[in-house]
Amino acid sequence: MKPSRKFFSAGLDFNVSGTVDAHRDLPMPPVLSWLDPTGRVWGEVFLDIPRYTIRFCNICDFRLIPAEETVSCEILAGNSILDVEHLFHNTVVPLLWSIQGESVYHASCVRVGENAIVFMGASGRGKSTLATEFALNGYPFLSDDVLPIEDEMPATACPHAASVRLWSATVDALLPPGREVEAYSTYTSKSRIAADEVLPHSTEPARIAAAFVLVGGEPNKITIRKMNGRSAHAAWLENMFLLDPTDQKVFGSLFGKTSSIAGSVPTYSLNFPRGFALLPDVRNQILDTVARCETAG
Amino acid sequence: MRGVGDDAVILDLEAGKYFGLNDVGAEVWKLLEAGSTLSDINATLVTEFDIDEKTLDGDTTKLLESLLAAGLVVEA
Repeated sequence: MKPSRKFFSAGLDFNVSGTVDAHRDLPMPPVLSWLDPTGRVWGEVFLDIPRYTIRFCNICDFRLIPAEETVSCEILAGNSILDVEHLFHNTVVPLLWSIQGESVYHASCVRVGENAIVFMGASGRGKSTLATEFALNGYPFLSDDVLPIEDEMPATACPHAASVRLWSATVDALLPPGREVEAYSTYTSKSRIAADEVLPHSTEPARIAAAFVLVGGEPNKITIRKMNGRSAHAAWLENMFLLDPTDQKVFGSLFGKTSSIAGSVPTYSLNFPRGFALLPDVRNQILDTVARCETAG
Repeated sequence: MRGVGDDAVILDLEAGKYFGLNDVGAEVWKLLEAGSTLSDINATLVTEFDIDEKTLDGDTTKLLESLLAAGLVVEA
């Protein structure tokens, strides 16, 4: 399978245009807002054709012109360039790809043989933990957080950054003692761990054999259920990067691509009791489910 | 309308809303697209699903009312 040109050689970067004390006032309403769990706005997208401003509240404003693939950034005084770089690579770049019509999802992904398994779900549900658990046990990860998918059949997962981001408790529980970790942001206590021979990263695209949506709740056992088509589609759509929902042409195209992916990739809900000791069982049940699904064909 | 497995999803770009239909709803939508009337739809579905005519007519009418209310279909 040939690596995707786009996602491997994007080579995107941004210029810091200046440091300011406060966000500029923008005359237009946002086309998109992101809320944190308390309902507070933490990010907004503004459109002033052909330029988009992606605002991360009290951190920075990215300004991008998609057709030119140019991105500049105005940073609010006192913020760390680490935060800005992280936001650029994990949010701005996939949003830029989305407005160019590419399907990109907030998901982790691992390789099992020639195939890939995708994990989706809200932040904190365990996507990175599962990717790490699989990688440490012989199933390299393709992505920890941002997953580009080529929707031509079969749906194909494209590798992304060769690192995972984990809470310190997960690092302590899963990784060998003394493992080198790197801070990547001031607003989270997660650390970044680079791939190596112990935590292998796959650089080859792979056909997606199944996807698992990590759902909430506190179950007393591992539960895996096949989702119906419309629920699977909603789950994929919820986890899709989308810069501009008012761009009907792009949104319609991405909606259609997501329909193709959800219609061809068996998608399951996954719930399991929190606890590192159970992870091998979770991994085995996922592998069993995928094997049964492949056999049923 | 896009098929997703046996189900279907519909995107209304103007309203910024999308809708999911189960397998029966997806079948109804296909029949509507083909120009079928309510009685045509019921006549087709009663042969495909294990359901009595009265229940089917009630369910189909309810679905069509929902589609009308959502602006996805208009009365001919």
